[in-house]
Amino acid sequence: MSLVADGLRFVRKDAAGGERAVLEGIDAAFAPGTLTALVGPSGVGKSTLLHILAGLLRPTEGQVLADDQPVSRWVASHRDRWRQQVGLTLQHPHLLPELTVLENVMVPLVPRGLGRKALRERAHAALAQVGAEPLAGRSARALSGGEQQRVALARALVGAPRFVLADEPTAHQDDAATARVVAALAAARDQGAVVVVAAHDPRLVEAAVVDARLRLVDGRIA
Amino acid sequence: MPLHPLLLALLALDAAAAVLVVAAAVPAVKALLDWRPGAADRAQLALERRLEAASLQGRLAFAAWGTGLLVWAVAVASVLPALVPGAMCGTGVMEAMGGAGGRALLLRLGALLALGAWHLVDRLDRARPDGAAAQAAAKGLLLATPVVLLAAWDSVGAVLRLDTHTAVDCCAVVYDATKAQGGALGQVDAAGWLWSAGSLGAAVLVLAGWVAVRARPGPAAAALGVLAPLWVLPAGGALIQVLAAYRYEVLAHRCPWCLFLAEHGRVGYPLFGALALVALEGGAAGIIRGLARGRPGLAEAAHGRLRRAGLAVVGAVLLFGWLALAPALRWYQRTGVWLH
Repeated sequence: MSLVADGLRFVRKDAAGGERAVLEGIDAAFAPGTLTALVGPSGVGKSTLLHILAGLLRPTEGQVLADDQPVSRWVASHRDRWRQQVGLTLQHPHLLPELTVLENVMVPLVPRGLGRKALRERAHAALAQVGAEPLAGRSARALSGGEQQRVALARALVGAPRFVLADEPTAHQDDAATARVVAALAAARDQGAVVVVAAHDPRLVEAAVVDARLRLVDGRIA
Repeated sequence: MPLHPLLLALLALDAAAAVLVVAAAVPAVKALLDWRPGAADRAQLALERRLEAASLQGRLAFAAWGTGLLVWAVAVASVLPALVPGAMCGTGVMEAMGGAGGRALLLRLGALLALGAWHLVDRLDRARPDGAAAQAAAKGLLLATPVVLLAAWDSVGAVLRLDTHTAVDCCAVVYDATKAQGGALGQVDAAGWLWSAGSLGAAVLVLAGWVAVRARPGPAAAALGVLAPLWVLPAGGALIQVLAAYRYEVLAHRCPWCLFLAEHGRVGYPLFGALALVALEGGAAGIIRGLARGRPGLAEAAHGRLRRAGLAVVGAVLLFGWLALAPALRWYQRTGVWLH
């Protein structure tokens, strides 16, 4: 159940038609039950790597292997199905503003055919895990940036995904909320998930729960 | 050529299908020449992405082509006869195309079958994530491409030749003349048509039922792949040469296009649609058999698709049989005699 980056290279085209390698020769294995932090200054490719691992971007070269299957090369329908096993939060939370916080967290569970009661119970539990339970009835558009981020993390974790990928999940959190977020990520790891976070925040990067740190410099693993 | 909206729609659909199929054929050529599923280098990954786009382009081309065929049928059978002097049904319209219409129609049907075969292989390929049949799908697309281009070109020629100023003969005159000229098909009597269509139809029904139940790419699927498209010929012959007369309620009228007229309930659409479905789905069973034999990974996808093909053939044969035979049986019940 591991997640492997196998010789990843990602090239972005600029407006002038030139090419710039954002990632180069990334080889890494993320084992189940581990929490890995991707660290490095802004612009080194942490988010890009996370997006490729999540199947949002396709690498220019190399492949992502999940359970030894080259999921990054699968056609869209199969990749989408695999991504149901991925819990993902991006730097921007992308909540649905028309829905309440609770409904936002329930959304990933809807395709699983659970009953309304089970949906609500699991969504409440996920919100409680990140300390956002009191926000359940509020409209998503009424939340602060930090609150939105925690709700997005609850949405990522609610389906008990096998792969948890989080991009700067503590960027807008105070110390207490950061501790909640770190604990939620650690809980997912303890349940056997592969957890990978891209982070600047020393409160997360240097947390004791982090099992490995992968430093990126200019798109390469240092 | 009259600037009728249906004809313009037909030309637009054909042009779209031709452009899409050519666009899809370019990466298909590359896939045949340089397909390396074991490699994850830039060229291979780019090719995989282009093939994914080609699959979408091919599916859009198939949809455009199928829609174009329907537009052609509706235009020729139900709309354009009003514009061609002397035309009572689609026969007059085909005549007004100066003989090019019949060839264009045959090519259109051939292109539909070719695209249908490619679509089947492509779907089976996409049912698995590993591109096990990617090269087979590329071959299918490259085989279909010239047929589609030729059919589109021929259709444009036929439509441009459509003369709405010169009077044409009524279908009765055309088919009586054809009958008088004789030919091999003209020598087959009513019993011959009915016996060949009936016996082969029974065999197709049994085989399709077997395939639907077993859903294995075995010899039954191979036999269905041959017999079902073959059955379309005697079934169409029996319909036109023998059974259509009971629907028209005249002693003999061998016009296939009159079946599309409103006074006959436009029954030509389901009748010929059922025949097309039998050819497509029966042929599909044969293709699945061929494809799944060397690729055990496709077994699961082949299983479900074979079941669907078998059920579709059973349904289409029964529908055709009912629509073709019911007027004859009603006639016999009413009068106590057969027309032939």
